[in-house]
Amino acid sequence: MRRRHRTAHRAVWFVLAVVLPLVLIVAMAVRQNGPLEASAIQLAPPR
Amino acid sequence: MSARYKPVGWNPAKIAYDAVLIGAIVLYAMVFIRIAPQFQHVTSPLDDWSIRIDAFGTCAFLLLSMVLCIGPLARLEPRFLPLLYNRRHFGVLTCGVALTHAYVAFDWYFTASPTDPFVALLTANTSFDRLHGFPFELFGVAALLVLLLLAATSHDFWLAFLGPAVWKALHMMVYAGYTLVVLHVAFGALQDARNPLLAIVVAMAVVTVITLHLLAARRERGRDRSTASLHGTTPWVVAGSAGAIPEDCAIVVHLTDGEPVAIFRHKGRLSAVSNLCAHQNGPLGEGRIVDGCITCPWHGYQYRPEDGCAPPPFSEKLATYNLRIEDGQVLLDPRPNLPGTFVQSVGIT
Repeated sequence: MRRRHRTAHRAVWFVLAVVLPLVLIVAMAVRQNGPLEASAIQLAPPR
Repeated sequence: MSARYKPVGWNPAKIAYDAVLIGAIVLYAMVFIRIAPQFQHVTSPLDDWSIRIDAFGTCAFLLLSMVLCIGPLARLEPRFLPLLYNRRHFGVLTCGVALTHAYVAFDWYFTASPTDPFVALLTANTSFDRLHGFPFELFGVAALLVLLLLAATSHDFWLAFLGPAVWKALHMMVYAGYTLVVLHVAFGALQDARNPLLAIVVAMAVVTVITLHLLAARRERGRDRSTASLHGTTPWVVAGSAGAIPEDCAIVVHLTDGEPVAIFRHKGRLSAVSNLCAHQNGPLGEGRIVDGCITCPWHGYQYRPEDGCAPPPFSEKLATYNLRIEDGQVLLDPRPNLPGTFVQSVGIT
């Protein structure tokens, strides 16, 4: 692989090493937890 | 080294490689479709189509991640080189699986839509102003177009037509494709997944791909710097000890202009040629001399060590380099000779 190709590969992956984790973190942060994922609430027995 | 046109140069290794890949894909899809219903939430069970969408989607994502791992793995550890030999078939199969995912999803989404499905795909969701609910389908469409372009131009015809430099630059679009796939998954499947397994698998795949590329980049940058400083001190590059080159193998020297040179030893004599195979820039220095010819480890293209010419009837040529030996050290003239120039090999005495 020629040096300019190696340099281009390196530059691309230095950028992606920041961008891809950031995408995943943002995606998980904006994710909305619906009522289906809420932990179960134990109802008090009827008196 | 092709005397006549062949759509695919099949050999037993390629057939085995493709058979294993196709078998693994079929097995993955079957197992996924069988076991996924057991993990679904009881209040919102998935239908068969959704499970198929997930099966082919996750399969395509994992395959693409693996394709991207092969290059750095082969540079870090030569034992992984056999995975590199048929990487283009791996890529084309990945595109096929992604296309299957898109076809199933397309069918599921718009079967009951009164609008034309293609129009509906592009206009059904216009929530461009917010991240949650962002039209992630468009990332998938863009990624699929990139994969289709790369698969369509993966044949040797396009390599010869465009030239290795342009072809390689074009195929670096796979990184844009991977980014689009990660965006598609992150703002699509990960938003709805109630099982954390998918998020964990996606994160692990992305981290693995990034880590391998950064490790390979660090290793190659160190090598570039060391050879650059060495080359700056003398017009002839000190390539190393003559006795350290194993018979019928090579060492590789990187010059300051970026050109790697392979110095081969054959029958106790040394010859130097460009390390880049004329076919696809394969690393000749990682190959061996077979039947008196340097043999590329990627696709088996062959060249004579003394003049860099492929044996008849083939016509490929490599640049050759002058060598001399002083005090047991191999010295390399960094100025290349014209491709096909005969250079007398240097005896190790």
